[in-house]
Formats: sequence, structure tokens, C-alpha cells
Amino acid sequence: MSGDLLLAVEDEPRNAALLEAILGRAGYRLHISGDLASAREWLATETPALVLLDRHLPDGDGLELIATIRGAGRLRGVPILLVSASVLPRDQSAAMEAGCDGFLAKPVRVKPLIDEVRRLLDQASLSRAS
Amino acid sequence: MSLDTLLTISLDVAFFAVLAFTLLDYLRQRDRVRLVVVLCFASVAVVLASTPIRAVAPALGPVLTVLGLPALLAHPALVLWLSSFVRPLPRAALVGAFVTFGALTLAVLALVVTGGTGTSGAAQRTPAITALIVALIAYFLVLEGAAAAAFALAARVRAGASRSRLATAAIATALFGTALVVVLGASIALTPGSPASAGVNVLVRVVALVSALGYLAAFAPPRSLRRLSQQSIAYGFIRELNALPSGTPVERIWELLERTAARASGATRSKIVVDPHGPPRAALKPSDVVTIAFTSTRWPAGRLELDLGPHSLFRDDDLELIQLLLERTVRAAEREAFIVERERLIADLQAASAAKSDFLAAMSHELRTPLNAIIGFSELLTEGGDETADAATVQTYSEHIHGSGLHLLELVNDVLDLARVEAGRLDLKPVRFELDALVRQTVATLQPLADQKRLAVVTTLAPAAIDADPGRVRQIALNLLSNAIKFTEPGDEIRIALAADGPAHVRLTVADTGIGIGSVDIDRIFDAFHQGDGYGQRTHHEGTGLGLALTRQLVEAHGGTISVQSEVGVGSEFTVLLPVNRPSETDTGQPPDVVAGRPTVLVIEDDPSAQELLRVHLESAGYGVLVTANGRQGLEWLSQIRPDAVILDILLPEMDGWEVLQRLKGDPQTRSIPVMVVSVVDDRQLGLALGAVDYLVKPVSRELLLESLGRLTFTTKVRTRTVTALVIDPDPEALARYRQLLEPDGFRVIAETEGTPGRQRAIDERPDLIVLDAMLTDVDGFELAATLRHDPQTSAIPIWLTTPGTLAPDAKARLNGNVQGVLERGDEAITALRSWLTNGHGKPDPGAPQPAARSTGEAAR
Repeated sequence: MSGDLLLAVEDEPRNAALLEAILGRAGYRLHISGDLASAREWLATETPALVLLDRHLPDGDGLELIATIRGAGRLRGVPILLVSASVLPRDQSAAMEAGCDGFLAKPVRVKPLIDEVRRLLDQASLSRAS
Repeated sequence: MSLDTLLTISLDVAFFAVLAFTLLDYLRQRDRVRLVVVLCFASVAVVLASTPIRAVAPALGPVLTVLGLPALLAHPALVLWLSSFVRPLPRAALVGAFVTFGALTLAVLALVVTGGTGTSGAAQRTPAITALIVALIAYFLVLEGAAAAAFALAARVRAGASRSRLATAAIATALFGTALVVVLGASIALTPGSPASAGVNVLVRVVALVSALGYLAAFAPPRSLRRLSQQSIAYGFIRELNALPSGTPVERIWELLERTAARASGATRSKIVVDPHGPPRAALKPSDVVTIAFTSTRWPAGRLELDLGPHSLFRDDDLELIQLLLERTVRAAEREAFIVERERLIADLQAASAAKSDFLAAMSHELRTPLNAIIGFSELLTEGGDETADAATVQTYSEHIHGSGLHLLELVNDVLDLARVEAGRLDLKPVRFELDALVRQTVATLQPLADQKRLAVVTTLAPAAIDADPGRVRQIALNLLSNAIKFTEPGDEIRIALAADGPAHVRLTVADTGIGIGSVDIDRIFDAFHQGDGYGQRTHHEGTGLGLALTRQLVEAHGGTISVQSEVGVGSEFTVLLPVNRPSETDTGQPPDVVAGRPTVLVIEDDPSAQELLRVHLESAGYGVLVTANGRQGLEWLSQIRPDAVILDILLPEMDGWEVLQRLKGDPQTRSIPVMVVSVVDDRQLGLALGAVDYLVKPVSRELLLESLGRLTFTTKVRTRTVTALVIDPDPEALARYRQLLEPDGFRVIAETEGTPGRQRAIDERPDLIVLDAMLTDVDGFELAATLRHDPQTSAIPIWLTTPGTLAPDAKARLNGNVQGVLERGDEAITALRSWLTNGHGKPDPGAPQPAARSTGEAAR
């Protein structure tokens, strides 16, 4: 499982660096897109094991990317973890309704982030196996 | 007595009773309308009375004829007169009616006199008599008909009681006119005493009585009848009033009353006036306007004005009713006004509450973004993980934490500023300054950012001096310009223009070719936390989302306006209009009150967040703090209040810190006040050369600030109690010399010849000053200075080091900020010290041996 390639869509450079530091330490490779357009471009050719998604992006709401991912057959099973500073119940339910598999509130803690990524990856590999 | 006679008499009695009633009514309330009513009745009464009198005393017949004929003939003219009160007639018509009456009366009387008897048979009729009869009938028909028509027409435009009363008058007049014509015709055609004549006689009396009762109801109705008609008006009005839905505008309630009052009273104009001054009334004769005042806490000077015209009828009854309705209306209007007001209040509160919730949600989001990096990276640093992080990684993580911390600070400062403005506690310090120079400075400050993005900054700045708070105006310019830089793509252009806008305003425009703002967002762009759409285009640039909200508040606090024009994908243009002259009410140039009993520090600093930081640090340590953003004002205040110390920034808008320092030190009045420079400009040597006692480079920690200041507040103690100096010197002669020179001035000198007991003495006695010789027998003076400085028990005591000669550079380096100053041994050193102690100077006189340039500690980077 180590070495899985993950996509992080995060526009704030320091927060992107943090995801890279935490998940890099846990053995994952991370690609970072700073906005929706570059994320879509990258997803056109690549298939990440999981997508970490922020909501407030320069060119729109991160949730808009979910349609792209769920709509492409190749990407359909990729788990999506929303990492957002919008933590109100209405924000969380909007994320779940939009089709996210997990939600983590910023500020993120190291262990919960790694655990949640692992859990979603395990879940995804189980459902692929069955 | 025949039945006919009995009937005639009883009918006559009834008629006379009605006459008596109208006469009484007139006597109770004498006006012309009632008088004419009485005359109308009287004319008929004379005719009616003539029959029984003639029966009793036939000899009076001719007299009765001469009296009765004019009375009978007067009736049509009198009724027409009466109708003219209700519906004005041309004066000529009325005069014509009475002239006709006079002519006909003379003609008839002449006929009667020449004919010998009052009535004559049809056989004797001549053509002249026939013509007269036709003229009489025409006279009766035309005048009674005109009066009846006037009453009927007046009734149509009125409502309620007026309407029914006028209608009754119209019917009564028509009936009575017809009856008179019949009497006239019968008296000519029928033989007196015949059964037909008797029948007509009774019929005419019945009609006359019915008409009289009609007139009575119309012009002098009894109380019960009046009540009935009023109730009908009131009933209709209350129904309409109750039918108005809740929340009806008060105006519509007033309109309902105005309409009802106008219809009930026949007023041509009816107006509720709630404004104390009301509309101009010059066009109306005051006597024609009736005013009914009402009392209400909401409308203290409210009243109803009715323009009744010169011929008003039934005035009192109507006014009484209208007053009742008015009171009811006012209560209803008060209730509706209250409801409308309450609903608006609720809506406002709900909007405010929603705005607050949105603000808190946005605030939570904004705070979490930098906290994410701070907590995440620090967790990585502290937990270490599986591998030990190398130095470069630690450095990177620390930088991320630091940067996020600064962002967080910026956010908190903006929130504080915004809260202060919204609470109306923003103290503007307006002075006259060159706005173009300030804008140029701001552009220069941000030029490096623009250069990074290869942005061309084009400025067109006309000279413009304005009265405003330069610190706040710079904040405005900085915000707009840094936004423009943030939102413009690399390689594009930013245009900044400053020009006069009429004689009273200057216009600052900042235009970019950035992403622009959608039309939905443009209304909210100046609200807190709206940087474009909530989930779009917000920022891959760091910003607090509060900048524009704050900018607008600052502009408005200056009495200016800010607006924006923008097109998505094309760019945005922000325009700030500022008044050239500021109303002088906010700033009198007087310094704020100094807190008594506390050492006072004057802070001259234009950056609001730095001001706030200094204020918080100083106030928490017990200092009284005065803040000004302006060097010139700082100097003014200095001479007025003589603070115990000054903290001075270097980059100031109008007069920079260097100049402030030079002037302050050049003025004998203020030169003794110690000045500490706190600035981003790192030019310690220049600062100390100009006379500053200390020089701290921003950012400054609280500890460093208070420690430096602690050495200065010394001077305030001098004034209140004996100052003790501890001298640690191995040379007994030197000790004696200190005593000799300092004790006469009231200073207490305690002495030790060795370092270790000296240190103990310092701990025990807490002197105000330690004079330490560099060459001690038991310990090294430099080391002792360091020990004292780092021991919390003695760290606040200023230390002067005495040396045998000038210090070598490496020796200076060893001092490392541990001492207040260095003096060469000898009397001059002591004199310098004494002068410093006496005057509270921050450093010895310039004439004294040159102290070493002071280090300010490593925290000041």
C-alpha cells in the first residue's frame, strides 16, 4: 500500500506543504493542484488512489470536482476526502451529499489524517476485490 | 264642528308645534341657516293660520289677505335662499328671486284691492288675471324646484347623515312646492266651502305637515335622530377601518379618515397633518378651515384640517362625530405604526443576527486556515515521527509556522480595527498632509511585490493636500494597492491616479486588469469576508477578507465614499472620494488625558497594529500611554504634557522619526525626556547619535520592550524618594569621591569593594543604580554585569560600568547589552552620573566621556 499516489487539491501553499509533509512521512506520494482547472487537467491522464479536496479554491468550489471524478469510469472508485476549514454542520452535510467519502476539519492533526487516508484506501481496495 | 274643521285645526296645531320647535332651536343656536328655516316655516304658518282666524272673525278677512299673500309668496324665495347655504348660487339669481317675489306680491295685492274681495269666481277672470296666475305658478314651480334640486345635488356628494338630511330637505321642498301650487290652483278654480275645496284644504295641510317634519329632520333634527345618523356613519367607517389588513401603512389609515370626514362634513379639503409645521395655508381664509387637534405620543402636534368653505351646514354635529372618529383613527394608526415598526425591527435584527452568524462562520474558516499550518507543522516537529527531521526540514516547517502566525496576527489586527470602527471608537488624528506624497510612498513600499509579479504600476498623481489621518489614509491606499497586486495576473498593469474632484474632494482611483468581480458579489465586496464569491475566486493569495470592509469603514470615517466598477476577466477600478477639508469636530489637537500616578509614555507610531501592540504591552505593565500617529502632533504634546518617556517610530507620514528626534533633543524644554526608537529601520548608530537612549528593531518582544523601558522609568522615582546608588569599586578613594559628589544632592551611596558581596548587596538592597568597575579583585566586572542582568532579582537595575580607559571593540562586544553605559573612571564620570540622575537623562551629558554604543540585545532582530 505504501507508495500510493494521492492527489491533493489545495490552493494555500503552506497547507499543501503540510499535507505533503504528513503524507510523505507516512509513505505516500502526493501530487498537488492549486485549483480546479489544473486538477482536472492532471486527472485526465492520471489515476490517484485517493483525492484530498479543499473547498475554497481560486476557480470554484472543490465539490465541483466530485462530478468530474464520479463521472469518469476510470476514476469512479477513487475515494474522496474533503479537508476543509468550513466546519459547520451544513458544510459537512453538503460535502457528504455531494459524494465525499470522508471529511476532516482544518486544522488537521497528523494521526487522524493518516488514519483516515488509510481507512479510505483499505475500503477502496476491499470494494475492488469484492 | 265638522270633521274637516277638526282635522284642519289639529293639523294646524301640529304644524305650529313644529314651528315652535325650529324657533326654539334657532334661539338656542342663532345662525343664519336656522333663521331662514324659521322664516320658511313662518311664511307657511301665516297662511295656515288665516283660515281659522277668518272663520272666527270674518271682519279680519281683508287684513289677513294683505298679510297672508306676501307670506305665501315669500316661501319660494326663502327656500331658494336656504338652498344657497348648501349649494352656493350666483348672487344675481338670489336677488332676482326676491325682486320677482316683490313684483308678484304688488301685482296680486293691486288685483285684490281693485277686485274688492280676496277671492273671486272663475267667471270674473280677465286675461290680466290669467297671466298673473300663470306667472305665479311658474314662480312657485321654478324656485321651489331649483331649491329642491340644489338640496338633491348637495346630498349626492355627501355621505351619512348629511346625505339623508339633504335628501329629506329636497323631498320636503318638492312636496311643499307642489302643495302650494295646488292651493293656489284650487283657490282660483274651486268655490270656497265646497266639499272639493275642503278636501284640498285638508290634503294641503297634511302635505305641509309632512314637509315641515321633513325640514325639521333636515335642519333641526332631535338628538335621537342625530345619533342614529351618526351611528350609521360611524358604523360604515369602523367597518372600513377594521377591514384594513394588519401592517397597513399609516398613510392609508389617514386617507380613510380624510375621506370620511370630507364626505360627512361636505369639506372640500380634508387633511391629517402630523408634521408640526404643516403645509402652507396662505391660500385659505382661516375662518373657513376647522382644525381638530389630537393628542398622541407618536404625533405630538397632530391635527385634522377641514376646509368647509363659507356656507357650511350642520357644522357642530359633524365635527363632534368627526372628532370621535379621529380619536379612533389615531389609536388605530398608532397600533399600525407600532406593528410596522416592530416588523422592521425584527427584520433588521434577523438580518443582523444572520450577518453575525455568517461573520462567525467566515471567521472560523479564516482562523482555521493559518491554524492548520501552525498546528500541523508544529505537531510534526514535536512528535518527530519515525525519522529525525534534519535541520533544513525543521527550518522549513518553522518558516511555515512563522508565516502562518503572522497571517493570523494580521487577521486579528484587522478584526480589532474593524470592531473599533464599528463601535465608533476609531480616533482619527487629522492633519494637513500631501496625499500624493503618501500615495507615492505607498507605491514604493509595495513596489517589490509588484516587481515579483512583473506588474507595471502606472501612477498619475496630481498634487493634493488634504486634512485627514495620514496613518488611516495610508492603510486605505495600502489595502487597495495590495489587492490590485494580488488579483492581477503576472505581467499586467496597475494604474493609480489622484486628482481633484471639484473644489471639496480628491479622487483616488486604483485600477487593475485582474480577475474582476461578478455583479452578484459587487454589492457585498465591502462586507467582511467577501473576497469575491464565497466558494469561488477567493484567493490563492493570502488575505484576511477584511481589508475592503476595513477600507470602506476608514473612508467613511473620514466622511468619504468608496465605490467599485468591475467586469469579470477585465479588471476592477476602485474609486475613493475624500473631502479635502475635514470638519474639525473630532480633533482639537489637545492631548488625551494622562492617567495620574502612572509613568506616562508617549508613543509616536503610525501603524495601527503596532500602536495597539505597544499600547497593550505598556498598559499591562502599568504605564499610562498616549498614542499619536503624527510626529508634529507628538512634538506638540511633548511640550504640553512632558511624558516620562517617548517611543518613536522612524517611518512616519509627515515628519519622520529622525526629524522628531532632532527637534525634541534640540529643544531645552524636551531634551531631557528619554526617547526609545522602535522601528523597522535598522540604523541604531544614527538613532543613538541623535540622542535616543535605546534603539529597538521591530518586531519587539514584550519582555525586551519593558526591560528597556524599565531602565528609564527610574527618573520618576527620583522625584518621589531617595535614590540609592550601589558602587562596587576596589578603590576606597573612588568610593569616597562618589559619596562626596553624590550625597550632597540627596542621593544615597552604598559601597562594596568586591564583586561577590556587591552582588549580595544588590539583591538585599535593590538599589536604583549600580556603578560597577570593570576591574574587580574577586570576579570579572563584565561577568558580574551579566550575572546581575540575568538574575531576575537584579535584572531591572541599570548598571554603569567604569573602566580605566577606552574599551577595546572585543571588550565592547562582551558587554552584550548588559549595562546601561560605560564611563571612564574619574570625577567626570561621577559628574555625568549625577547629572543623569538629577535630570533623568537617558544618558550622561554629551560632555562626559563617550559611553559605549549600547547593544539592545539579540531579541531585536
